[in-house]
Formats: sequence, C-alpha cells, structure tokens
Amino acid sequence: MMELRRRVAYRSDFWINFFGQTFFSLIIAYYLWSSIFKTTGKTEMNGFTMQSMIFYYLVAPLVFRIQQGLGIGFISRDIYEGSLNKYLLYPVEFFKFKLSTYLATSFFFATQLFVILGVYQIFFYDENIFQFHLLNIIFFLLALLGSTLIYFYLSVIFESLAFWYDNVWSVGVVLRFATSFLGGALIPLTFFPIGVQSLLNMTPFPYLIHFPVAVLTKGLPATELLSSFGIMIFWICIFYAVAKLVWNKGSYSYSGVGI
Amino acid sequence: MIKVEGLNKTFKVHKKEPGLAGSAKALFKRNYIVKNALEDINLNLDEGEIIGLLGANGAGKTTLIKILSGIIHSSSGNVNIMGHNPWDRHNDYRKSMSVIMGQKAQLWWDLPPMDGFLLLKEIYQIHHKDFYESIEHLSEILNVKEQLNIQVRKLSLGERMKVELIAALLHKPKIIFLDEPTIGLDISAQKTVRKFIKEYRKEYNPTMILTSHYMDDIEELCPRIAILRAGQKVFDGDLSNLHNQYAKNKLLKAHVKNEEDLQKLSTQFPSELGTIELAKNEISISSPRAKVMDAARYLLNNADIIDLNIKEEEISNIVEKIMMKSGDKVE
Amino acid sequence: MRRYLRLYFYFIKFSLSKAMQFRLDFFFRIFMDIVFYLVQFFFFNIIYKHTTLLAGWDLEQMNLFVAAFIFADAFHMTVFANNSWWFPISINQGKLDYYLTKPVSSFFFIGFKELAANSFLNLIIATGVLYYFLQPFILDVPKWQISSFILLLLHGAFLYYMIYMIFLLPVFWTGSDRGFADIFYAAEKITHRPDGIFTGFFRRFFLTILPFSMIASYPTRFLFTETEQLSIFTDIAIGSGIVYIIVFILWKLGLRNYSSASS
Repeated sequence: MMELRRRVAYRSDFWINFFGQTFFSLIIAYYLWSSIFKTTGKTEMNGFTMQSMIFYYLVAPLVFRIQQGLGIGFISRDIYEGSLNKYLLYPVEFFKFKLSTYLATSFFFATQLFVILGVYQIFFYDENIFQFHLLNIIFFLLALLGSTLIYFYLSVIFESLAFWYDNVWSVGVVLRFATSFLGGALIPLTFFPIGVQSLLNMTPFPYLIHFPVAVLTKGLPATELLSSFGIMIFWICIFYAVAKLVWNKGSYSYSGVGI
Repeated sequence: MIKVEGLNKTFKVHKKEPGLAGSAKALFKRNYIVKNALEDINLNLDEGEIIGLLGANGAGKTTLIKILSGIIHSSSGNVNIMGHNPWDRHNDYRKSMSVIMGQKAQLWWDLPPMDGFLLLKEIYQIHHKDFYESIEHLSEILNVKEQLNIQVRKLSLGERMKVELIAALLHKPKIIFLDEPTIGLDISAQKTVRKFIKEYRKEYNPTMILTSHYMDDIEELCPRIAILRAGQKVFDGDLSNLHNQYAKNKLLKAHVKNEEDLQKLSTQFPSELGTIELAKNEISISSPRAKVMDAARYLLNNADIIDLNIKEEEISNIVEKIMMKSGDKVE
Repeated sequence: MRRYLRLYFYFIKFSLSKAMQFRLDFFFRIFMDIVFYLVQFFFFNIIYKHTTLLAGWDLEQMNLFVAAFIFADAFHMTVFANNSWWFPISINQGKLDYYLTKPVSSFFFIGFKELAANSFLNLIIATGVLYYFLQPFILDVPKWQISSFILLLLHGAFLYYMIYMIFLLPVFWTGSDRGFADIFYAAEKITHRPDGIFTGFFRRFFLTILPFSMIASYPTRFLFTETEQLSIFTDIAIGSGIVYIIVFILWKLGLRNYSSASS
C-alpha cells in the first residue's frame, strides 16, 4: 500500500506515460499485422483474427509489465549502493519485505490493465475476443499471481549476482529481452515453429505471458488449466529454492560497502 | 568593474497538494506562489576588490552569485560586469570569470584531477606553458601535488576542495565567485583554503565575491561585507564600521561572590540598564552604550563583585542580529 | 570546430579509462546488445515463416533492414546513449550550472560528454553484421549509393538522439527524473519496423514530427531504389530538419526557463 502511495505521489506523469506507451505499441501492432493479413489474404492466422491480434497486443505487454513489479535493479541496487545494511537492521525479513513491495507495484500496474479491459468492454465489445466471465477472471488473476512469482524469484537469482559483480543492470535487461520474446510479448507463441514451441513448453517462459493471456481470452479447458497451474507451482518452487541458495551464498560474501 | 543596479529576482514555486487527487489536479491547474529571491539589490565593486556576502540560508546569496555568473536570469534590473551582461553568456565574459560552488563539484568523479585540468585547458584554450606553470604553482601552495593523479572520488573532502580551487583558477580569471568554499571542511583545511585565497589575491589581485557561513572566513579575507536578509541588502560597508553603527550594546561580565546576590540581581536589575543572563556564578549583561557606566555602578553597589569585565559585542553576534532581524531596513 | 574535436578526444579518453574500472559490466553490456540483435532477427524470421513479403520487402531485404537499424542503434549507443540517459538527472541536480559558466556550447557538453566504450565493440559487431547482409546487394547497387546509405544510417543515429531529446527536454518544466522517456521507449520501436507497413496519417506522422522511419527504414529504401534517390533524400532532410528545429527551440526555451525559474 505504501508502494502504491509512493508511486501516485511522485509520478504525476505516470498516467501520461501509460497511455503513451499503450498508444504506440497498439499503433505498431496494428499496422504490422494489417500489413501481414493483407499480403497473405488470410482472415485468420494461427488462431488469431486481426481483432483478436490487436487485443493480444493490448493485454500482453501489460501482463508482462505487471510481472516486472519493481523493475530492474530492485535488489542489486541495494547491494552495490550498500543500502542493504539498512534493510538488514529492520525487524523484517528482507525477502518478505521485497516480495510485498514487489507485489504492491504489480498490483498497481494490474489496475491499469483492468482500466484498459473496462474501456475495451464498453467501447469495443466483441464476445468472440473477450468477455467478463467471473471464472475466467479468477483463473486469470491466479495465473497472473503465479507468473509474477516465477518472474520475481527468477529476477532475485539474477539480481543477487550483484553480490559478486558490481553492476548487473545489463543482466536484468537481458532477462527482460529474452522473456518478452520467448514468453510471447513480441509475437504470439503460436507463430513459432512447432518444434520450437514444444521446446519452449519445457521452459518457464510460456507460463509468463502466453498462458495468462490465453486464460483471459480463451478460457482454457479444466484439464489444461490444472496441468498448467501444476507446472507453474513446480517452477515457483524451483526458482524459490535456487534464489534462496544464491542469496545465502551471496550474503556471506557481502562486504557491506559504503557503511 | 561590477555594477549592479536595482536587481530583482522573483520566481514561481509550484505548490502541489498531496495524494492522488492533488497530482491529478496538478495536471490541469497548477497553483503557484511567487517568491522574491532578491529585491532591489545595488552593488558596486572596483577592480581587485573583495566583498564578503553574508546571510542566513535562503537569504539570496547563492541566487545573487548565480545571476552574476550568468547561470540564471534576473527578473529586472541592470548588471554590468566589465561591459558584459552576464546572462548573455558571452564567451569573453565566461573566459574571464570563474565560479566555485562548495556544494557542487566540477571535476570528473571517476577520474584524477589532472585529466579534468587537461579538459579545462582545452575549454579555456590555455596556453601550454601557462597551463603547466599554473598547476605547478597552485598545487605547490595548496600542497596537493601528490593528489593530482588520484581519482577524485578517492580524495578527502579537503583535498577535493583544493583541486576544485585549482580547476577554477587555471585560466587566471579576473573575477571569481566563491560560494561557500569552506563548507564541510575541517578547521585546518578551512585555514589552508583561507590562507591560499589570501596569497592568491596578493599575487593576481582578482575581483572577488565570497559567501560563507563561517565568520572566520569573512573576518580574515574581507574588509568589506554586505549582508542579505530575505532578499534585501541590509548592510554594505566596512567590517570595522559595523561596530560603530550596530554595536549599540556593550557586554558586561561579572563574577558574583555569593548566591544570594546573584538571585537578587536576576530579579531586581533595572531593565532600562540592559538585559541580564545568569550562568553559574557569573552574570552577563548586554547594556546600551550610554548606560554601561550606570549598569556597572549598579552592580558594584548592589552585589559583592569579584571581577568585572566590559567588552565590545562579538562581531558574529552583530552580524547574526542583522541577518535575523525582521522588519526595518537599515541603510 | 577543431577545438570541439579536441574536446571530444578528451571525452573519449575519459570514458575509456572509466569503462576499464568496471570490467564485468563492460562484458555484460556487450552480451546484452547481442541478445537484442538476435531477438530482432528471430522476430522477422518467424514472421516470414507465415508470409513471403512484408511491406513490399522479401526476407533478404528485411534482414538488411534489421542489420541497418542494428548498426544505427549501435552507433547511437556508443556515442549518445549514456548522455541522454544522464540528461534528466543532470538537469535536476543542477549540473548545468557549471556548463553554463564555461566558454563552450552547453549542448555540446550535454550531448557528447560520455562515450560508451563497451558499445564500441558492439558497433564493430554490428558493422560486421551489416556487411554480411549487404553481400546480396553489393554487386547490383552503385558504390556511391552504398556509401550514402551508410552515411544516412550514421545520421539516423544522431536523429534518433535528437528525437529522444524531444521527450527528455520537458524535464526543464516538469522536474521529473525521467521526462517522458517511457513513452519514447514505446515509440522508438517504430524504428524497428519497415516504414512500408504504415499508411495514412501515422505514416506521415512518423516521417515528419517523429520521423522514426527516417532513422533506418528510409536509408534502406534509399539503397533499394533505382529512381527515387533524390526524393527519399529530400524527405529525410525535411523530416529531420523539423526535429532539429523543435529540439533547438525546446533547448532555448528550456535554458531560459532553467535560468529564470530557479533561484
């Protein structure tokens, strides 16, 4: 909640940036895909019509933004600037503290997504693409939470590298690039060659962006939902364990610069 | 040399209400408060003169320096420095002056000072021979020869200020603005900086404006001072005149032998003779010049006095009083 | 001019010695840009699995276009990116104060002070990539057209920086620590799409007010055309001219505001 207040208080240009971003990414997606649909002469490609494609590009970047929470540097900055000491003195567990501010930020970005969905529902209502269905929304929220946790612990692992290497900002950027491409934010995963798709399914990436958006738009069958959530929990546990391990190793070698 | 006439500076501060609603409102309509940073400032400096600028935080010292060095515009009034209007930012003017801000570094943080000097050599197009002579000479006086090739971030605060001074003086400016050059330095570093400025002035005779929080800086370096209060100049003249004009009171200090007298004095001392303060078995009385003798007589008659002392008021106290006093403006 | 070149030589020297101090970050950043390049190529190659033409270009042409914007990006990253990154922060911390008192253009200081030594290696890689994808065309296109293409890409890198400044200069008024950088990051992706996909109002928009299409797409088009060299060149001149005028005005107004609004 503090995180929310902080963001609102210091970022009056926050909404301007948000609308600007959404606007440009939609423009680019719209022209790119209408050009592709026109040249190929098809009305449907790999499960997408022009309309549902636009909706995809409306939602996918926002879903990805939600997962990124506090953004690159949310731990590494504390480490190399030495402000980690401050947190270590607080009577709270560092991990829990970071996780809660991270989720609070994610929650804030989620409100943006729901503003967009509301606007879409009112002005461009198309029952083939998206409709407010309570069950879908609940599963979507669960998928969002799960994917955010995966990305959080994955980031913790990379951010903790700052214990050994001063500045790991660029590593965070690499993770972001890779995820946005392999998770489906740049182009829907159904467009990838079949072989690549089944390879990707063995990684956590499709569960980050592709899966939550599919839950929201298509309302997947129960069996698939169940197995997907199972795999998500599996990844969360794996990354949680690795993150703990790396963190513990790192904090031993932590020198507490700049005390 | 420097001529300032009727200088005013106002600026707007945007006032934001807290919270989301406040931010949203601020997008459409902003509430501004107009602040007067400087009001009707007049100032004349001859070539080679040095003036100490005093004032509380926010009195307008830094604003004045920024205007004179051309960093910011004035709102109205005339400034003429060697025929230039500073905020035209004419290259001739910029080459002949220098600004040193104690709170802001100009040298590159991650590089040794020497690298920064070389860049300044290019910027000011300093002649090769002059450049190396200046560095040799200045680093000798300031005793930082060893430090010239160590990264700035690894230098101590005092050393950093010294190399900043060298950086600012390489092009032999005719006018130097020093804004809090000793801020944050320890006593011995303060002394070195003061001594350096003194020697530098003897040698090159630049025109200087110096602001400082430390009265010692001013007393040692500036025969002339100007005091700013809330954007207005309330004193401009010789430091020595300050006593005659403003030290309306003298200070009496007396040791009193017994506790009873002390108590009696503190309650019964007539207020028209001055204000009294107690500390252990000592009392101090700030008394108007004309009443000093009466006050002393009253003390001797009414108490058992061991020792009596009459002094002029401390200069820093006078300055502080002028700086803080609100209301009437003194010419 | 020679003086400014000498100054720039110092900037390069300083940046190099600074970069040497953080060696790991140095290599990480090179790696980061390589991942970025790979993603761009994969993206278009996946699209061409589903279509043979996009915006009138085949895959071979599109790969050259990708190589072209990667080259412009690497040049921009090397020369300008660090400076635009620090720009809003410097303004807010009042770093401009010292620059203004120096007898040198402040805009030069702000724009060229930091060079990214690590990105220089990426620039070499990007040059290699560009050379590789130029091969299919190198025999059919006249030499002067190829060299103009390279020059236009270098200009594109500068133009990219100037468009970025349009989004950053408002910090003079808003006082925020990022300006509208977030919008810029969303908008700059137009650079990575061929101009041929855009039509109507937005096509004109991306050729004039925010001429992202002039950075790499038009230079690539310039390489492919046999008859329209002159008109493409004029379009680039007009589009970037508008940006330069806007930046110039914003900079002057911003400086005036900086000088009159602060105390």
